[in-house]
Amino acid sequence: MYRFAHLADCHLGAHRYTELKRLELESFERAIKRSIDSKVDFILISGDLFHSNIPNMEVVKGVAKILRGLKEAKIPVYVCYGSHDYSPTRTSMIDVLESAGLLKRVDKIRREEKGYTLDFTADPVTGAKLTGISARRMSMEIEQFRYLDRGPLEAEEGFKIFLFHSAITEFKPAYLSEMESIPLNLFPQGFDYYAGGHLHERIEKYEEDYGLIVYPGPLFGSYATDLEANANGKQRGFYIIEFDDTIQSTNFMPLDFVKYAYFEYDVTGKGSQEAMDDIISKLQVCDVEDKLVMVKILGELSSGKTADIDPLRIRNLLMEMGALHVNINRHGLKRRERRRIRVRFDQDASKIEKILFKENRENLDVLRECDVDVAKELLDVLKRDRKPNERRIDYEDGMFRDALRVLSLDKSLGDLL
Amino acid sequence: MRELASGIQLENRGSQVEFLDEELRNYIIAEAKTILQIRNGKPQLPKRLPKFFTHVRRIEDDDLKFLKKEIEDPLYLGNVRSGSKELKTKIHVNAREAIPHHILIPATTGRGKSNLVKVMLWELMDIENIGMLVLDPHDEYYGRNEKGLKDHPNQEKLRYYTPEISKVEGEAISLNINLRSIRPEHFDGIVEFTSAQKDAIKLYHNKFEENWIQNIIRGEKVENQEGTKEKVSPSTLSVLQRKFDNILGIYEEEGRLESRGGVFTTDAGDSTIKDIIKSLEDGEIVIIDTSRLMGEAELLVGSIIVGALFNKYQKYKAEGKLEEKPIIGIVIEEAPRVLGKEVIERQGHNIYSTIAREGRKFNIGLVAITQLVTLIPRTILANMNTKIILGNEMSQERSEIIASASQDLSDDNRAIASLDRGEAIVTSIFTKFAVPIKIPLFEEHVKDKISETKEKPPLLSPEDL
Repeated sequence: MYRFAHLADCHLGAHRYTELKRLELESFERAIKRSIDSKVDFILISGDLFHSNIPNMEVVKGVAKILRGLKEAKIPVYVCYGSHDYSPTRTSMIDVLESAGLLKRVDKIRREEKGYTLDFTADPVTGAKLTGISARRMSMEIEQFRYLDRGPLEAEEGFKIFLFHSAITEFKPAYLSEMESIPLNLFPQGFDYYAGGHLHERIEKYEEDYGLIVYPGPLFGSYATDLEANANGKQRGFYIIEFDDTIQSTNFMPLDFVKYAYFEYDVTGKGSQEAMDDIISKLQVCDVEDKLVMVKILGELSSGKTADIDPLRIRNLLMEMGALHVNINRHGLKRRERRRIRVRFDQDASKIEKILFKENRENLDVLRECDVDVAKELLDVLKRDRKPNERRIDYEDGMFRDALRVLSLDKSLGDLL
Repeated sequence: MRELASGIQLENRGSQVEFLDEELRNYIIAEAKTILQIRNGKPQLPKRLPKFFTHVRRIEDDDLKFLKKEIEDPLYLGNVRSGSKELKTKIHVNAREAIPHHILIPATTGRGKSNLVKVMLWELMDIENIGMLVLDPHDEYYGRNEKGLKDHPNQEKLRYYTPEISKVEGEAISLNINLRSIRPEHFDGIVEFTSAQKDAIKLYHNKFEENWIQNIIRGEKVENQEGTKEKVSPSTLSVLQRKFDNILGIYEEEGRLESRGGVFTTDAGDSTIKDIIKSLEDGEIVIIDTSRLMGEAELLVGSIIVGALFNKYQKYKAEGKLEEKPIIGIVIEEAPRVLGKEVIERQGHNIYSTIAREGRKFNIGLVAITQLVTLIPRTILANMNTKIILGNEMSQERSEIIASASQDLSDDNRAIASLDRGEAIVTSIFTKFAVPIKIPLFEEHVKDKISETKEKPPLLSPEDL
């Protein structure tokens, strides 16, 4: 019985914050260590080992050290480009590491008369045959899938693995429906294992005529949405697969060494100050010690500005309470929406003003109580120009009195003024 | 002379009658109906008869020059036909106008309905900003094993969903619909539920939201607030489980949910509905191969997609964005299954009948295909503003078609009955008169236009390889 580990979407170098940087590298380190402990014969990384094709050298240093350990332990690492690793000039860090003999790309594609042909790389110990198609930017690898000469790939005998870093249309989660994807039927059939990457979701599915298709999901999470999902209980990790002539077992290896806290607060119906006070008082009693804290604030404020919900104050509070790192998501936070109003241009200005007042009644508190005609009349008073030779004081005084008259306040206030 | 000839025939002598001077005395009498008057090259509805002793001849292409004027987004239907003779003049309708006003294609079997729809869809592949959803119960439009839309040069505009992707050459997408995409209203007018079953469905949907079907199949209990008594009786639950098993092919085995048909699943197809709607909004043609599905499941798939689409377009209208969006047409075969009087009376309105009545306001139209027009309520027939009438032997059907036609076809009863395969009469509010057409055979029509590009892989730089 042989074993291999399957990792994807490590996205090393994705995070800016020290603590997150440490955790993403630690995830990779732990995954490799567990693979070695599980006595794997080789390791697959199906794309996006790094977050960029030329990552920060400090990250590369850490990865090179880990890969050198694998080389010394005689565990080969087979990879394909992910969309983040892709380099049109083959100068990606993946290629540098390949030149140093620390890993091996298996995505060898050639162009022939009938279309594109892939070559197999045979693992010397297990005899497993590996091939695959790398990702390119904007899912442009779909052209290679479209014109792939699948016949020889399907006819090849033995235990076969196909590495890829693309979304399969049928397996896309609903929230990624806008993502470019490749229909399953463009993949060659009859492989034992399809090692996928790109979808930050764990998917394990057996497809008739194809084989076992696995997306392990990210090891840690490169985006705030990944971390938010982690905090909501989504497990991250990698796979260890046992095989001989066929797949014998699939084991998901969760990496749950990071503790999370998730806090969601809906501000709808509250003023900004009230909401802020509420958030602070609720957070003060949370247990966040040594945890990655994800705070999500959403909803529509009844008054005040979104800027009043101060992320710095929230972050400082949580960090003082011992949080490892705090991420605050305010994308769903809104002020009360002003409804768009459409008016026809062929009407005179007076009519347009009236329509605007009428339609805006919901948007402006002051208009709720007040009649549209009164508002219109007041506007007419306020926009009156100063007459030639009219004294400024007379102009202002006249306007003031007219305004009071429109608002029916002239009788009650007029004598006092 | 006519009366005299009739008289002779009445005496049962028929063709035995001998004329002394046959060539001189025999006449062919034709009855003519004025349908159009051309003045200064412009067609007008006729208000008077031709002058006495006007020369009569068969129609020619030159007479139909007025039809050649530019139409925006022209959808080709066929060539003008005079009797069995096909002219060179092509008949087009403005697709952007005709589709939202609904198109009805009535005919008995074997008269060329599918061929016509294939030709129409082929032509629509070249028109921008019109999305078409094709619910294809016979899997005949994509052309899996013969010529079809897959051979169109503009094939990137085509999306083909089928449950059998491994048997398809080219770019097909597996038709997987996640159970979470299904909402109770999708069954409206398609599956009959008793009031107890409807209540149970509502309860499960309220409690489990998008996982409601899964929980019904698993037999999860919905309890009263006191947490004691079951709210849904076991018999109701078991009938619902059986119905979902029959319609969706989903059942429980050893604690796991299994899918029999492979279309409705729990672990894939999350984005299918959104993907389809996005394709339609991008003006693409989406073919859903429902040939492996039972009738109710097929309609349900359509109902889920069309329902979501309708909601989205309603929203666009409310936001004033509708004009920026493409027109959407929905091709539905055997239309009385959803538009039939009996179905609507028994099960209430469904999304298709809603679209038939008010889809036009939201730029969504039906292309309804049927053998039996009589089953469709007249109110819906009247909303179908373009009818492409193919041959029909059933006199009752013909009467119904004639009664709901956009032009007066009362004298064309026999003409409709004698329409040969591929011959049709187009009656539409967008044409001044009912036009007889000859629809080309799809294979002949596309012969010179079939795409060869598929054979040539694109050139990529050496680095890309």
